[in-house]
Amino acid sequence: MSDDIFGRVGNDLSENAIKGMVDDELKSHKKEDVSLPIIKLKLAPTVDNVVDIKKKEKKEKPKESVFQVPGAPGLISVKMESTVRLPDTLTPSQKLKKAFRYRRYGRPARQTLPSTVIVKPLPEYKKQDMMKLKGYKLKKSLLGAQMVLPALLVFLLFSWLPILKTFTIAFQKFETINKPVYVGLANFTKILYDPKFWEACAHSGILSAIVIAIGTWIPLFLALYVYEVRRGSSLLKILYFIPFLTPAVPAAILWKWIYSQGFGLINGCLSFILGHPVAIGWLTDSKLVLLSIAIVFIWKNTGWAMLIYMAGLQNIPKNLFEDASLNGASVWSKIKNIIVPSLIPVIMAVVFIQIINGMQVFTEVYIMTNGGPEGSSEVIATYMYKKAFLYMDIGYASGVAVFFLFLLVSITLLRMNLSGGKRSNR
Amino acid sequence: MAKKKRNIPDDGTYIFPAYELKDRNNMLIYRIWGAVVFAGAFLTALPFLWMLITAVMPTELIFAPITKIAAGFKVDFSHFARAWEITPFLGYFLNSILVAGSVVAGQILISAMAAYSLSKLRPPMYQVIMALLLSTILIPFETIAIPLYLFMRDFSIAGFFKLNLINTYWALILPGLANAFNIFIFKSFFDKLPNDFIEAARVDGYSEISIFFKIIIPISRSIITVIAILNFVTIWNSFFWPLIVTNEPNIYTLMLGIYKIIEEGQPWNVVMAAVTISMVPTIVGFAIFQKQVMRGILFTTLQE
Repeated sequence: MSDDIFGRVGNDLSENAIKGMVDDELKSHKKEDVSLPIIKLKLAPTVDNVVDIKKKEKKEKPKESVFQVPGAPGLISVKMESTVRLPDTLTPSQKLKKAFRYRRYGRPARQTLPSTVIVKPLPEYKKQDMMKLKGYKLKKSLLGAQMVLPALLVFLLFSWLPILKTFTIAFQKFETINKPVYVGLANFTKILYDPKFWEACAHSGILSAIVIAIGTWIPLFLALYVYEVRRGSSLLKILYFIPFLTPAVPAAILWKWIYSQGFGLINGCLSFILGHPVAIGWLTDSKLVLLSIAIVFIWKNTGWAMLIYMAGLQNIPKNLFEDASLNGASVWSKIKNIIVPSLIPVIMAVVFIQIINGMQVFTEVYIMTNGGPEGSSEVIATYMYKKAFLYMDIGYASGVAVFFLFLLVSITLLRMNLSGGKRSNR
Repeated sequence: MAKKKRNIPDDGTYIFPAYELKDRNNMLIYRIWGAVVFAGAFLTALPFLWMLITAVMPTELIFAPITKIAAGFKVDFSHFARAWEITPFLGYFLNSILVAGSVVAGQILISAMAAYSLSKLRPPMYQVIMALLLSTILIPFETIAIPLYLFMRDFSIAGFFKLNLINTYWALILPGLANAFNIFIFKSFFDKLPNDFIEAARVDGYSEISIFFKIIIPISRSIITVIAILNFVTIWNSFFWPLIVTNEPNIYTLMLGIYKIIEEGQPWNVVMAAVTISMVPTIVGFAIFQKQVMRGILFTTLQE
């Protein structure tokens, strides 16, 4: 670095030029001091000091703390080298500048450092202390085992055994009163050739697709504005957030009333606007019913997604927007080129959580339509519930559950893969 | 002289900073956007408004067109009394509070202990245990509901204590105790705690158990509050599991009780009054714990 500066000054010896260069160099030295040499320095002398203090303590009190872990002595010998070297051969003018600089600002601090640090070997522990340490470690891990035991018991009974049992029942013909009989893959072949099951899967998929198609960009649109708005942002936040807090059961009952054919709020408003009675069967028309359920879902989750997006917006560095403004970027191009690319991880999180929630939906469907007109709103969860607890075909329902498990786990793993890839790219 | 910098006012905005709003086009976009967002907020709140209006509407107006409702509207609070009369709300409330409270208490004790052990004490094979515990996050509850129901029906531990737990509080409480996500959150919190606290306490002569209860638990009070509130809300709102394991009115939780009202074929204004009553605890709870709820939702979503 110093060569560079001397090169730049050349033979021009005006005092201002030298001063400026020297200032620059001093600043850079300060930075270097912070970045490199001090770290090395701190490491070596403190270790040295610690050793000394310990020795003194040892002289005064033979007892030693068991908890201090010794460092390996071989690792610590650090050879200090000054990172910046002045060239050996200096021209007279350069020597002059150097002398001037040193006289005026003093020698750089790093020049006074010792070049090597002598590390004394650390004291060894007594056998007694080591035994104590071992006993203590054993005690700690035993206590740890005791503390994790209740969780293990609870998870064994209510998570692992049930999941194993789901798999075993899936291979059995199990109808409540009769004893279960092993039937091999019969349940799975029955599922494969069951059009109703595949319809239920399709309905779950369509529901999720509608929810994603509408429910990801509306909250983004809202979040951008609510983040910007000068007055009333907390009011907006709470208004959008209340549906998310509303439990699913009251929400579903409320929407059943709003959707009701002939007398519901939506049809009432439509007939008021259009001037003639309208009777759209929101929940009784087999083509509309999934859309209606998806609307309830979106209504419920918009505030949540908005909150997540707003948290994501806070992490975008502001100077990007200032630069964009100075360069005359339009609103649309700011959204397209800055906000959306930097929010992509958040958008992915929202999309995947909504897919998983959409596949798992039970309460809304069960209360509003209970499978809907002729099974046109049957989703996987309601289908499984009906098979298990109404038709009492528990083996078959377990087969559906196994399928459901694989579906959801694969979605989750896909999400983990995608987000993991993103992280490693950064 | 340094170049004169352009003065950019910092009003915390991104795409519509004040100096951009001087432009007429941008102002127009801002206004239209705002109108749409406020209209959306009104539409979002409209179902609740309609719920309140229906709840105080006279019965003869329920099936009338909107114009007639506006003309002959009278406020009639008697439906609330009727809803309170036909449904044992107090019992449902108490059931819900009992179930959600005990699930949350049990969950927090169990998962905090497990997470502390896995994070700081490191029992033998702790990595295996951790993988086993955390892998259950992936399992959706619906898939284990059937064997859990069978287990609750013929409850026994290693062939002893044969019991039928259907229609008891135990059936509602026990499966809720296994929640790996709490362990995950607690563990990531404990991992960040420096060991110095614990070692200082050890030197001071605390026993390991009292370190956990007198130092770790008070330090993690904030995270415990967040987890407790979120889990309480989840259990309070749960419908699937209570629907499976209960069929007697005296054990119904609030959500199940509300659901049973529409099965009885009551008029819609009584139903809406009941729905309104059932939402009161949620709204009051949110008003009190607003900050923790928001924080918790952000935390759990972005943590995953």
